[in-house]
Amino acid sequence: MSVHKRHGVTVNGEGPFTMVFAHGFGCDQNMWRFLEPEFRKRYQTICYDLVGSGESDLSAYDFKKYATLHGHASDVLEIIHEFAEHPVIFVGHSVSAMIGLLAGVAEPDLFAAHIMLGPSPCYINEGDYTGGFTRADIDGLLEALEGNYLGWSSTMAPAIMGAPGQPELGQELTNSFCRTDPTIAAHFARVTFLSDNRIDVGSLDAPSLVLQCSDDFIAPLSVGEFLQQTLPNGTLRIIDNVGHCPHLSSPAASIDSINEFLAATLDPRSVER
Amino acid sequence: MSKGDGPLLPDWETLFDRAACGLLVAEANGTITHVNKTFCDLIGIERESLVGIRRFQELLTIGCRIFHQTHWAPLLQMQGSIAEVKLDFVHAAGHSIPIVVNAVAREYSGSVYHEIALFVARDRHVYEIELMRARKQAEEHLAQQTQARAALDLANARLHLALEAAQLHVWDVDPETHERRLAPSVALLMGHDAPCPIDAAQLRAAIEPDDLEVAIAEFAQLLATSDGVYRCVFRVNGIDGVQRTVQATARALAEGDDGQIGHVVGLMQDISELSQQRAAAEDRALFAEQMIGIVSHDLRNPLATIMLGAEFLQSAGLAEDDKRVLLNIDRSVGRANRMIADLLDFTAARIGHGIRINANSIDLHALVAADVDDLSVAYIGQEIIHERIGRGKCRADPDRLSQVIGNLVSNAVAYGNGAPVTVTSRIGQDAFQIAVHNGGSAIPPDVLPILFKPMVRGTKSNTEKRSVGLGLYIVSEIVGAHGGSIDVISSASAGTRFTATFPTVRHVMGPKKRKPAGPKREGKSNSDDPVSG
Repeated sequence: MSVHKRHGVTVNGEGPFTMVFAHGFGCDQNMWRFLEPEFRKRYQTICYDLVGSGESDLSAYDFKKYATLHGHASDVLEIIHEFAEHPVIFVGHSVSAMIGLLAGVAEPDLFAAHIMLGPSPCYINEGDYTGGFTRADIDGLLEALEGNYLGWSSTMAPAIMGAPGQPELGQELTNSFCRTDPTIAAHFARVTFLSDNRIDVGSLDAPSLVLQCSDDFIAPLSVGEFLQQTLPNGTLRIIDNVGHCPHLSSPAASIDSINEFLAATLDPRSVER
Repeated sequence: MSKGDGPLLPDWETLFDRAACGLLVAEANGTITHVNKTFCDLIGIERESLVGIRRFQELLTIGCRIFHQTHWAPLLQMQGSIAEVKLDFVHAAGHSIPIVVNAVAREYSGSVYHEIALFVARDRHVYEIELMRARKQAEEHLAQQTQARAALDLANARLHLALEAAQLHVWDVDPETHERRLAPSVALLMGHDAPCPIDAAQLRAAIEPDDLEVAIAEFAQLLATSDGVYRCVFRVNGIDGVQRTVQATARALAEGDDGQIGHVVGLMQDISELSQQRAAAEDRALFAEQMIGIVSHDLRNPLATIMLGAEFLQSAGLAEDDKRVLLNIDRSVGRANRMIADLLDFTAARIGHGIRINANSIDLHALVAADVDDLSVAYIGQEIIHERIGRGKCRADPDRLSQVIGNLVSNAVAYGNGAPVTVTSRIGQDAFQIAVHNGGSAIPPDVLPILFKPMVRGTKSNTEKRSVGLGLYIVSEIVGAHGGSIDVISSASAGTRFTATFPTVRHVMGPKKRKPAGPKREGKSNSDDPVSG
């Protein structure tokens, strides 16, 4: 099984950097539809599906390998080695921000910068740390996922109810987004929401942007503050947005923040449009 | 209410409010702008507490809210609609309600709104749980089946290895055609270098013609019986010019109640070497038996001649010195005769068909008394006491009993300390016994377990009194042939007692062919006479 087929890798654009986009739990690479086209104008861009999500090869989901985020981090490194032609700007949403962090700690030379959308190194409250959830909350999620067995499959191919203002979506609706096997979804949820990578955060030396929503149920502001304080080279930006997906609900603000960060961080010649 | 031509329906707001499902409109961030009464009733919260105050997602359980944020909301944003997702809502009373949610995103005056329809899904929820349970069960069964199959494969592999190692070749019978189906390895039995397909006709053609009829008959017999066991040995003429002896076995397994033959499974095995070895062993045994028979017989004739000559000389009136020489001759001939008798008994017991018993009704006490009298004469200077206990008739071979008594007393005198030897004859209800007791040192413990084996002696010293070591073996064989048993108790303080126990009621077993090998009461004219030593 090639890396390309395993992850449904799509490569676009050309430029002095390679931007790798990694989606979060519950979705697939389709969620980069508003962001990635903006950056392929000046960088090489790579989008992919995590194994177990979207168009990835579900048969490659090794429950043992993916029992921790390190399994996904090793996939990131494989993808970069095979497809990236330049230093990597890793854009990770939610759990993938931490996957990128683990990959960056393992092979720092590959990465020029990390951009983390709604990241959280640990979802469960512990002592002074406020992740936003109790263990019981997470157990409730896992139960909800297991109880929504039909939900996973039926939502994957929803009835077309019209998409006003976004006619281009109508065509794509015949496809299904974010499709996965419910058993894998439940496993990935368990791995994601029980992960604790706080100890690794201090080891990422590359410049990092933490992009947080002003009102995010999944990653509260306290988490963003923890990351800014703990990342050796971290910047925190808050976007005025409700929800966990600023790249979908506030793409323009997200792009502005990213550009601003890259301009300040990278060689100016590379950032010019 | 509308008037005139229109139907008599309430206005749209009322219809919206009382719709048969929950209806709700929210801003893109989830803030509720419209909600109907159906939904308010459903979750037990007043409209006033919802509109402009609560966000749609805040009505969910926390677990579902994570699901909503990570999956539902991005999907709605990307697709513009989403259908049939089940979400758990928290009722004002605290319990959760499973609700199936359809949503569509629409833009009005530059702002996106989510129009949401909500259906209670308690039954679907229950059904889903049942489905999941069933699926889980099915998966478990599948796993079990996979495991069982793997175990079966392993067992098969092991069986094949074992069959190969043991050089066993499988065959079975086609239940339709009743034709034999042979494993390819049967080819090896027919002289092929490697396994190859062989059919029953090929095998039949290779079977030695003399054996074929029996093989066919046995096979027909197997098929005729519902639970038959088949065993047939035939020779196979191999294409390599080698004739092999093959043993074929099989078992028919009845199937169903009608006793019809279901499956017949069998094995074939090359037993050429085995049958050759067996034949060779039989040859050797026969030869040894004949040899000993011939030697013993041929020795007896010259011994009889010597005996006759000695008797003749005795009557001729010899000088005292010459009479002593004659006595020595007489004694040695007696001893040689006894050894020949022992050898013949040994041969019969060990190689041949066992010691033969001619059981008759006997008066045990009288028989033992006569023997003790005779033995007292033979062992001058050794007191031999006879004890009799109980009464009644017994059934045994009298000559063989005398042989037992003679051998045991001979041992008692040889190994005793000169104190009286006691011979006890005891008749009980179920058994009778002959016991011989002597004083003196105990039999060494390491000798006890092998005492009744041939060529064993209680001592290593090699004096005139010792025999060839067959005495106790023959005694135990004789007792065994009567269906009895012999045991020994030996200690320094209590001396040594051999006890032979014979059943009174049991059928006495004996061989059929062999001539009685034991000489008659030769132990009486004992040449181990201590007087002459």
